[in-house]
Amino acid sequence: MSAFKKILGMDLINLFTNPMWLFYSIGFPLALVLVMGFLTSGSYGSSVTSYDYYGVALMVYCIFNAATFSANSFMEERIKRANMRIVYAPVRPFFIHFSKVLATAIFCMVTYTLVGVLLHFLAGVNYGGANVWMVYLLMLAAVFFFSVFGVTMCCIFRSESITNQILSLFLTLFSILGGLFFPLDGLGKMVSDLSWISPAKWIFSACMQIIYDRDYKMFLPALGILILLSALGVAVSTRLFRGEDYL
Amino acid sequence: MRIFWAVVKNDFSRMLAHKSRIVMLLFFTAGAIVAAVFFHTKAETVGNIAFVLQGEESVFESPYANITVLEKEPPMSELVTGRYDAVVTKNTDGEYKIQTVKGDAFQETVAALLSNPQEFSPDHTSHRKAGTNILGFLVMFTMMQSTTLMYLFAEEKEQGQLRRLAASPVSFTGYLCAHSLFAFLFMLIPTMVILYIVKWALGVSIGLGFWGFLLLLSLLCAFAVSFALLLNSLISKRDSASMLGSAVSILTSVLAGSFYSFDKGNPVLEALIKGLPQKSYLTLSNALETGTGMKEWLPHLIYILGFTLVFFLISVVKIRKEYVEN
Repeated sequence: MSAFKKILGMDLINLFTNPMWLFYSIGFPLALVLVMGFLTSGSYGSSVTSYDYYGVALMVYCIFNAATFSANSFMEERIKRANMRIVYAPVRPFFIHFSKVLATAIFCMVTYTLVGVLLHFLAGVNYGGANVWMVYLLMLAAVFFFSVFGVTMCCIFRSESITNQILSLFLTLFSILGGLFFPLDGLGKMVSDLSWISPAKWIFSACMQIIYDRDYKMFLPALGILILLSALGVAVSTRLFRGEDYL
Repeated sequence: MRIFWAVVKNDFSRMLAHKSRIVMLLFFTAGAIVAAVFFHTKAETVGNIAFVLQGEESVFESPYANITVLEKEPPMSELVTGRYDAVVTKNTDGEYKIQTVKGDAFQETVAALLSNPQEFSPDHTSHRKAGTNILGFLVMFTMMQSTTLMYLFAEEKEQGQLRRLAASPVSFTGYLCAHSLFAFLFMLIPTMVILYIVKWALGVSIGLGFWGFLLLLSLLCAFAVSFALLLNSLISKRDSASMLGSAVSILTSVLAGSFYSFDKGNPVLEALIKGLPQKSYLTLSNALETGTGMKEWLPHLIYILGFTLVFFLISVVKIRKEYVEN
């Protein structure tokens, strides 16, 4: 267990000291929400503002990017070498990939919480008032799932650049399909049915129902599915991860 | 010249070693084009309007609105997420009540539609044509793809081959040109082919002719390649370059109005948006599509070419400074 703590600590330091990742996880979401909110503020009224929409929708999009962080913290050139040495040490291989998942999840939880708090006070984004804990819990579960997802993809494809490309295009497509950038429901029943295969769709819908309808029927199912998928992802990574063909 | 082609050939065979990457590239280019065509045909309505009616009352039909009849009012979250743009209920005395989160201007549009459904027609002055719409969707994807395609160069830089090249009698400018040419062709040719396959398969009009698309896509690919080259020469780490690249591509393309054109904004931001090369690109393609005079589009063409050239020159100077002169 002390070995795991040591690896996790090092991974956390690696994440928190990388200026590019700090920018990508704090500056980018903030800028994206403020810019989109500002641009579309004309097409919203005063009861629900454009910031209320994009503050939740683009947060979900940025949570998707946790997969990119975990994939990179797992396969980065610099970290690969260190991992190769751990493979030789008497440490369980499970620790290597799971510590990256946990480190990314902790990193994103901290930075995104900061972003959410800033957005709430700067732009008055409505995160549900007294029910904010439900929205928060759902988002934390989503962060954890996407951290797992990134590492699982790495274990499947075994190459950083392929994983990166697949992830970034996959995540973009899923967010568009989930209606995070603009609503898709007007495009017919087929599209709106199809959009439910995107996790973005049900995470976003669940959050919006909690915030605006005080309707909690999707909260537990969404949370359950995220936890189940995370467990599945960890199991698949454990099965596929082999230190010797790490390179 | 021999070295130039050697680099191109080497890039090509390295690319072939990753077939999945090529498949993804083709898949997403096709996806972007199909999505653009799809959105274009659907974008002509005012929005989704839900009528809450009890009993057998019937509702008018209008080609400008997607009307849904519901038995009871939809929850507020469906209004916020955009499932419905407006909900119309009828008072006991027969008057319509409109509920929307999209602001007063939109409420007035819906009221106008309700009061005179037969003669209503929305304001279409800002509506873009098919070709510009397709190119607008491709802007973001092409920029993101070029940052990933430049990994061929970034890998050589990160893994140290570039240091050895610097010691050999190879022209650096030629070497960078070769990499750029490869990335350029690797995006341009598949995109053109897919575009014509989509046109043929869906039987839709794509607005511009062959030469128009070839010119505009070449311009887009050249710009995207020089952007990716700049990122990879300024930032030493490959991952950071590709992450920053996608963040900048998304933000600036959305701002420039690749997907939606934003009309309302404040003057400072509008001036800023006008400075974005993507915005110039969209104006240029719109001008070519509507067939306005040369005076309209020539400055935009020069502007984008200028960006491309400056990005390329900075990259060359930076790389030369880092590897040759030291």
